[in-house]
Amino acid sequence: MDTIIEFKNVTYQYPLTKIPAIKNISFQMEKGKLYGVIGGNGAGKTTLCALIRGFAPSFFKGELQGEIFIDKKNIKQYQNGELSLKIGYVFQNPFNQISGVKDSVFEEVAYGLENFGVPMAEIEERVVSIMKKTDILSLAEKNPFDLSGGQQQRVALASILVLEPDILVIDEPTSQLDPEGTESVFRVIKAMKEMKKTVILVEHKVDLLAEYADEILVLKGGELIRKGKNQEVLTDISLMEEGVLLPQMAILGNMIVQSGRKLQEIPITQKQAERIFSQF
Amino acid sequence: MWIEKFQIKKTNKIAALYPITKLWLTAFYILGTLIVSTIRIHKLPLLLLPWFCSLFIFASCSGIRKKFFKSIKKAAFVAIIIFLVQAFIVPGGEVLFRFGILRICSTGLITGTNLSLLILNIAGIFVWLFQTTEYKEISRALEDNGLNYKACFLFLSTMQMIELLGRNSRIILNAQKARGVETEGNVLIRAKAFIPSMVPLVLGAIISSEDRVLTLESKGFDVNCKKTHILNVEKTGNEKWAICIGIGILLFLLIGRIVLWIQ
Amino acid sequence: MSYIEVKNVSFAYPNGYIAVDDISLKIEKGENIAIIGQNGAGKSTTVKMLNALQYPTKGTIMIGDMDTKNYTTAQVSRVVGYVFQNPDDQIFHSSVLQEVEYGLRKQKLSEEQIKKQVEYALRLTGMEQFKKENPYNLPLSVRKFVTIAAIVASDCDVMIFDEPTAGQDLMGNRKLSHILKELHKKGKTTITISHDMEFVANNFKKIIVMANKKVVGEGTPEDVFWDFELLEKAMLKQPYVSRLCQKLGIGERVVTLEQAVSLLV
Repeated sequence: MDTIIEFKNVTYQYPLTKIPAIKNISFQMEKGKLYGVIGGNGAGKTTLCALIRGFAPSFFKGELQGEIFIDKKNIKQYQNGELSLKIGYVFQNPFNQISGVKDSVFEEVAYGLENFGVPMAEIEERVVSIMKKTDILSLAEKNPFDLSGGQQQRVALASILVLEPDILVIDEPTSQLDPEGTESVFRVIKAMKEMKKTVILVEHKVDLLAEYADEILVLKGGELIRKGKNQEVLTDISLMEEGVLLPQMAILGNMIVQSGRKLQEIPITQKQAERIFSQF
Repeated sequence: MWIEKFQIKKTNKIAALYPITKLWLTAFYILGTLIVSTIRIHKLPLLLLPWFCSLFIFASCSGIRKKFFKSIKKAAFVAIIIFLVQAFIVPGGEVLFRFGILRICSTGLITGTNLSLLILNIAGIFVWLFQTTEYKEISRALEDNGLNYKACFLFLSTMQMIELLGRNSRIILNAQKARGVETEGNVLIRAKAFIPSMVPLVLGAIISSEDRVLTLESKGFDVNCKKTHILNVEKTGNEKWAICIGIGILLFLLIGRIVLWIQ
Repeated sequence: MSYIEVKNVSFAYPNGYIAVDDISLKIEKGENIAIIGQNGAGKSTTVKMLNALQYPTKGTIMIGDMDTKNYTTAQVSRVVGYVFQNPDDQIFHSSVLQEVEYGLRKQKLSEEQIKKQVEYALRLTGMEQFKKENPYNLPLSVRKFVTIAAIVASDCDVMIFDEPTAGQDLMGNRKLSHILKELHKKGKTTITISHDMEFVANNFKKIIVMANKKVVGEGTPEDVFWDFELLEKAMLKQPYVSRLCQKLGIGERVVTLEQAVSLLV
């Protein structure tokens, strides 16, 4: 097993608050897997993201106990800028992620590379290649502010992916998007999986996580209450009482079991459900 | 080549001058304006009018005649208002004109003319500067000339931010209208709508700036290394001439001014 | 005549961009309606016209016997309340309570009346516990309920919710569902824009589908989510459970989990 992120008894408390946002969390994440993070609002999902990226405590201040290792090296030992190349971070609001100093999508995507002083010829190659993968090449000459939410979010993903980080932390990328925009973003997330990136994805749309994630972490009140394989976690109906939504197919499966019929397994994706219920 | 597409190309020789050179020309023009304004005809700095005409010709030569004329109309409007206010309000000297309670005194006429013509000229040269030069060119050239890249970013993003705040304030005004805040009508009604629209605007800007800072850090803004730039701003070779001509005109004005004093 | 009548309404921006193109709608008093469609379909512009935030460039909108053209936004907003998609565009008080009271204080209601309506709204939206909090200390998804409470407190006859489900968790969705039911019981007319098809299928009896600046369909969830031509035109998908039933070839009208269970068991 190739561990890339490790939390050892991590507790974190924001400044001026009375209770910790993250309470004594320990886990390991493997290279190249997609981890879905779910839980109610205020459960600590965003804080977990900020901790992995080191923004907490470096930017938010506050108090951190325990240890966080990225690639087996304590996060505190990373130099300025080193983490930006190792871990990409994409936020919920696509609008706020536009640098505001570039007036074309191409230049916006290239901005990170400019900052790291990458040679011009290489910039062009890398930007074009990532714009193809995120399906925004046709938008290259447009102003980022004139795009739709889904397009802006893909630009945000591209501007981070172009730095070729091993790890991507993506915090609710689709919550402000329409169904079309959501799908387009998930196509990019799928592409990341194919690029063998380690992805940490916070997302309320569990039905999509059921399809794309390898493992699921469930947070509640700052505690990690579940971590395990997609199939294990997302079929556990008791989670609904903790305020966690399960995929529609898993709820359906559980409802059928409760009504007295036996199922060999509870489905989480539509494909599984089709296979299981077609025998009925 | 993609990079080529994002270079700024100008066919006009004046407009294509290096941004720093254009900054110098702007400074020369302002100095020139101040010198010309000290030459008085009937105590009025009337030479500023032909001086302004020369700016108009200069703008036309820079290939921005129409755009320039459009913007200068707005500046002229402000200048006229200032002129009228000064002329009618400032007392002192002999009364030149009287109509009911309205009167124009000589002191008012002089300060009014002086102020409005100065404003028109100085606004004019900045209109020329920003119509022939994009903000990012200025920022890029300043960075090349040793200004800290963070200061350049600040300059560029502030310009962008002004536009953004304008857009947001319209959305917020609508949101407040939707819950019954009257935003149209007399001054009092507008004043009352001020707080409900300013608070979300400012708080929104603060909240989003947190995201922006983190995004910048994610994109390596803070990394200490030599930065690459997609946008190139180069000298055209005519810069020396432009500066020489500028200094020449300035010297001519200065000498002319001194000669007029001695006489 | 219906309570709300939108007759051949178009809206074009001064620059000529058409956002809504010749739509007609009839909404009865007390109806509970959802509007679905991709961004840019004209949903927000349509509801903004109901609130007189924008006036039709063609056609008329009647709310009861009120032609919106003849009234200011502030006047129409006493009858039609509108919760914006982004709560941060609306909130400007330093406590939840003040924010919710604001509209009522503007209407110069009696102290007693204000207290009654505000308490009801805070209780219904679950914001009672945060009454003294600064709204900006609450997470965005909770902040949304502050603006919902403000509209509920104002007690207007028609309430419009623009994407209240965006970013909500299970509890948030349950709460929204509860609020809509309660408002329905009180005889309020509600119009909700949402991208969450499961939420729409479970909470509404009537759905309006918009695409490409027009109203392209209208009906019950069963009608809308099994009309494939309509869904394709609007670039929308069926709820997950309907998709499953379609694949399995059972129940041509399934839109909720309960319906599917009764067919499968």
